[in-house]
Amino acid sequence: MNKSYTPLLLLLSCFAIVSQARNVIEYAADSENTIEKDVTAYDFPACQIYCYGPLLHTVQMANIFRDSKTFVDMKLKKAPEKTIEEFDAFMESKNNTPSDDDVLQFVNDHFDEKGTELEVWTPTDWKENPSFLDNVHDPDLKQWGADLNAIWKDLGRKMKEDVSKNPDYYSIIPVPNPVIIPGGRFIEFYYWDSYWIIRGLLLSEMQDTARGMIENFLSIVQRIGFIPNGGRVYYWGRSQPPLLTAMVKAYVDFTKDDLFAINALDVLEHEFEYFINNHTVQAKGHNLVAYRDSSTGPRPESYREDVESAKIFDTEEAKEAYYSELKSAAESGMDFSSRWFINSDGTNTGNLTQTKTRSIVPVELNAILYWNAKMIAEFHSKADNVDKVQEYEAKAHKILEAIQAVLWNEDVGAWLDYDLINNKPRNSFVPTNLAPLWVKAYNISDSQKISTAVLKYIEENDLDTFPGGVPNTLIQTGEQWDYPNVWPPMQYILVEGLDNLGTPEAKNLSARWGQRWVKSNFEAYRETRSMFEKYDAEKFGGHGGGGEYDVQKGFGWTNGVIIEWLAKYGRELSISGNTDGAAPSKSLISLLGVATVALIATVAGRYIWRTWFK
Amino acid sequence: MWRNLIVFIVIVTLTNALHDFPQSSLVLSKDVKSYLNGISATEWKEFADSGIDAVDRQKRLEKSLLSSGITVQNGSLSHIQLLDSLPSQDSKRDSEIALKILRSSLFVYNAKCVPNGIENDECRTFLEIKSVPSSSELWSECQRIVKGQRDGHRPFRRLMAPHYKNGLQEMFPEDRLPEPWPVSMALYDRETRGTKSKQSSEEDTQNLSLVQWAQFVEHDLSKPVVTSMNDGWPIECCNPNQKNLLPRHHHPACAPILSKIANPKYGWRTCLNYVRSALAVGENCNFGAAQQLNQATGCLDLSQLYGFTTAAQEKMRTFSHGKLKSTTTMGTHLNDLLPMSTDANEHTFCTTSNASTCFMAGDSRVNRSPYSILAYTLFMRNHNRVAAELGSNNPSWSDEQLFQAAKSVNVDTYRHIITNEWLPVVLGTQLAAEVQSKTESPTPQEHLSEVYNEFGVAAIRFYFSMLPNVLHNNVNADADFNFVRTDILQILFALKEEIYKPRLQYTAGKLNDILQSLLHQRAMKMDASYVSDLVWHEAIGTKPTHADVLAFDIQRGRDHGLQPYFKYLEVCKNIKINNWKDFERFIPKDHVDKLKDIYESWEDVDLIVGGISERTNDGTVGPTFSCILAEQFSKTLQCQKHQHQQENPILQQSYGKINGSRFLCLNSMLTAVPQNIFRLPSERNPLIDCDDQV
Repeated sequence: MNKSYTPLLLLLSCFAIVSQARNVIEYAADSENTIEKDVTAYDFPACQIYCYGPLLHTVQMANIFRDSKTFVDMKLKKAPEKTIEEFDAFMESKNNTPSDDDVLQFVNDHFDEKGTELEVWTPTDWKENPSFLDNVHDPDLKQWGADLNAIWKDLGRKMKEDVSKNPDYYSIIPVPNPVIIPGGRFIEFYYWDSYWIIRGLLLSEMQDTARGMIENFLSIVQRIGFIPNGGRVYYWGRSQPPLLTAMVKAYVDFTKDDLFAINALDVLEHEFEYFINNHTVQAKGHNLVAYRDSSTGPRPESYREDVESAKIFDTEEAKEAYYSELKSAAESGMDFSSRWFINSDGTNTGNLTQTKTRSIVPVELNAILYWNAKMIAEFHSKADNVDKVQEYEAKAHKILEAIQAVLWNEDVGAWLDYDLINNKPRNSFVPTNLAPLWVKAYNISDSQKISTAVLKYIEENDLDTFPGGVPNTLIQTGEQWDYPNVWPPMQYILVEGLDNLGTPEAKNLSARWGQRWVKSNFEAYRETRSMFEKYDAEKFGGHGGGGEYDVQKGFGWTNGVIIEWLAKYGRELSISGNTDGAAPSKSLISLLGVATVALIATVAGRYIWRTWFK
Repeated sequence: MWRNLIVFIVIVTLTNALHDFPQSSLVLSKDVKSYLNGISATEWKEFADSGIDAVDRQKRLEKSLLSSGITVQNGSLSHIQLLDSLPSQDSKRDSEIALKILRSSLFVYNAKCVPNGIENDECRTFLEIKSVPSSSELWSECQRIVKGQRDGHRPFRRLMAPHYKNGLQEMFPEDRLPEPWPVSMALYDRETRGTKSKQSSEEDTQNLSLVQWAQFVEHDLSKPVVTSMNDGWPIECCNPNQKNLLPRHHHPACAPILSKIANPKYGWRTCLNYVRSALAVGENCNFGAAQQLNQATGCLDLSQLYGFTTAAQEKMRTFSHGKLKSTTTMGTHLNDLLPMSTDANEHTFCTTSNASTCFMAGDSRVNRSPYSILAYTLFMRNHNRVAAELGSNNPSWSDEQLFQAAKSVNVDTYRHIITNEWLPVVLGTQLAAEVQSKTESPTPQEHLSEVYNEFGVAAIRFYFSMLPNVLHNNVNADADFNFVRTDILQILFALKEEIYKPRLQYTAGKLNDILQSLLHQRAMKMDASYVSDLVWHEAIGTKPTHADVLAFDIQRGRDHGLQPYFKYLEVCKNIKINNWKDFERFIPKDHVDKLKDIYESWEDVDLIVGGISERTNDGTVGPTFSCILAEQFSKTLQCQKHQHQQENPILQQSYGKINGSRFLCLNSMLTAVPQNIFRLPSERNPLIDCDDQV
């Protein structure tokens, strides 16, 4: 253990989590070239209620809640063991065939409302006028930025004291510091969401809240060995794209607090090695990583949906394998998408039941791990740990070689996911195909060549024709990570990636897409006073749909991306002007006089918007 | 936002003989015009391609839906609704092209108009004069439709500009307008369970025949149909438990009718299917707002019986002696029933395959209820009666000659009764006379056969308000007009049991009883509370066992982009409405108060809701619906005059000039019918002995 963590550990001991380690045999993937590893995971006592077992099955299959996540977020009235005991008695009294109403009664008798473990928390470091607002010249956009800054107060959550006293009564994973949640049905912290949230917080000058969230994640790695998908015990078998190191990097870049990074190195290395050890697969003689899951059964938070869709499989084994594919897709954060479908003919036609996440080498996961290795090396160099720098530079280099050899596709002009079943690249658009640009997982000397290829790829896929942003795929399946949905983190990856590429053409497109995104989000906000988790590529200012739950508002990563881009483009961006070139609107506005309009907008805007959020 | 101020709206009124419905047409500001004119040909082509791609992408989603069994199941509530709005192959094709053009328009709207602060109406106005680029395959596909024989799939016209959230097709969201089902629930008369207050007062003498013929006229002139999946499958928007589907199973054409959330803890909402109406391409193949498709033809031509197309008509013909198909029993033509449907497996006429009597006609709506079955039957009999008479008088005539002549006579009889007898009861004699007297019109011929959205999905739907739950057996009603108390009468049928699943043992005798009874049963009061079997009013969360007609009509009105009620009232009465109080001249005050509880603003009241709420004076419906019906019939009757010239006036003279009572006598076994068949028999409307007539 790193000495510098003593204060944090002391804090953690308050939570007195009684957990036993248990071994879970890693799945056996379809492809032979998977490297199998044992995973050590923690088994929370609350898991017997919330993660698996007959109680979970009975309640979730009784069709009580439209959103299956509702039940697993409810609080126990009695200890888990006692509840199980009473459940067994209940089942016996009902001859093991309770009616849906019986089950409803049992739930009402044994569970309290959902979400009672967290209380709204106003961040103590919240600032009324963070300096990024000074960069925003358009009065409406400036007001919007101020509104987004204010939304942090709505999304702040702190665990109630009872959680540390009775953690077994809750499905929440206790953490020491308050958090910013995504919003909507996502009433707990999420792993990769937090990256964009933390960047937004840093720009909003809320360093304490940002650091607190990072420390939560560090503590979770120390306790559990990895970071689960989100802050609930029922996510115990899966992680999410590993962006903890990038969070530390963002914090250090903003605060210049190098020591924070240096102190975190042990944990960051641990998480890196965890991913490598548990996610490695082989393709064309290279080691790469793929998403996977180590739990059993359907996703607890979408239990009924999974059981229903698994009906087409005949054997328990086939069902279990299917559940693993679904949970692995959840680990990617892209649940669900045609991106993960492999049909018997090797294409992505078909539906959810063709999900084969474990057999697909995903571009962005490998790019992120490369980036992690590079950042760990960078932090070590700050501490002058020369050997470690070399070690992680070497690891990064290996990953880069593999990305170059297996994923980069010269003909197509992009990096492509790799299909381990059919041993071939998957030539279908996903924004992650350009993720290496975002984390600079390519040879910088090839920039011009890559730029030409990538821009051609964008042109050929008509990616610039969508008024509401670049869709996640070009295939409409009804799943939420498919056409026409547009996701904020993916716009971020694309826009920042093209910007990094540095050629004038790429930077130009980057700015156009970034600014279009800001304007489109603003239009949606102007109309609904809401920020959405996902948007619609076909609509300027329209929100997304599909998937298993209704579109959510809030929304952490959306706000984070917009705050960052308001800061980035604020000086040049105007919603009444037109930066696309044609520009009729400026003259439209001049009919009334820009000054008058601006004044009215600011005054009216403030009045309306203030009252909205109180 | 302040952008509103920049738009200069000029309202151009087009003259109409009866009323002046403003066709709001904007003069685009110079800047907007020059900006939009600056869109290059390449870009227009790209927008068209994007629209095509967007529709093509839906095919993949539709495959997924079908593999999950998300389509209309036989015998379900959605199946009933589907038969009400069943699209033909031609309609599906038309709708698909129209949808591609609409989606292209939406790309222009989203890429060019919204980001530049161009107002919805301006954007639409510009798009409406811009035709699809001829370099796009959309152009040739659209041309093929408009240049071809376009029977049974034309766009509905509009009395007023479309009213959509984005000006083009998007319905207003629930935070902007109260949802249809809660509106219907709130209008339901809970205290009397939709019965007592529905009894008309003694002065109202309309009988159920009036209601029956209203439905029959609707079937003739208006048939909005649903959007289908690309390969023809019907779209379903609810799960089998009548709850809302998971978002992944939501088809873009779905706009389900949802209850309020029963309990926020559980999150479920009860669901009735609503699929957005099929679209039709405009005659110029221009971009622009959604135009709904009318599968019916706009003239009074009995197309519901004969079929909307020549192909459909052939299915109804025997090709022998000029006759229509029928199910003949022994004896006279008075025993004939409609032909039986032969599509037991396709379920295009009935929801159950084991129905012993599933009738066939030119329209899938024939089995909608015993009222419609009876109406279709009477006109089938009349056709065959005339054909037989013509045949014996003209032994040399071919089947074709006989058929055309009999059809012409049949249609003429029908028009005659509608124009001279039905319309005066509905509109009042004065307005009906005005409509009839209208001879000259500025309307181009090709527009005469088109039907207004406001008529098809709002005004003509008034008759649902007058439908009772049950038809009592009035067979023994005596000639002295002493009606037997209804509570001791036998029930002939309960409406909700008979919708698209004919269970009655249909015999000529049974139809006779129905005819006799509906002539003697008073129609329900025309008002905003429908009877319990037509709306679903049980506690939120209970699984519905029948549809909610009013919620459906509200939703469809919004789907078709009808303007709110007050706009029509303003034009019809030539007044300005400024507040709720102004409604009180037309709607009883206690009812206005009820509407205040339902709608946030008087500007939101739906046309159908306002229309059925109005007091009636002269005729059967209030001023706004009267006005819309008059507007429609002034067109429709011109279409009739126009067609007349092509037909044989001599024939019509000798066979067609019969009135309603004679028509009923000639085609049923009734012994006496009221002089005016749309009113209860009384001293002023005596029963006429059929023997005296024939």
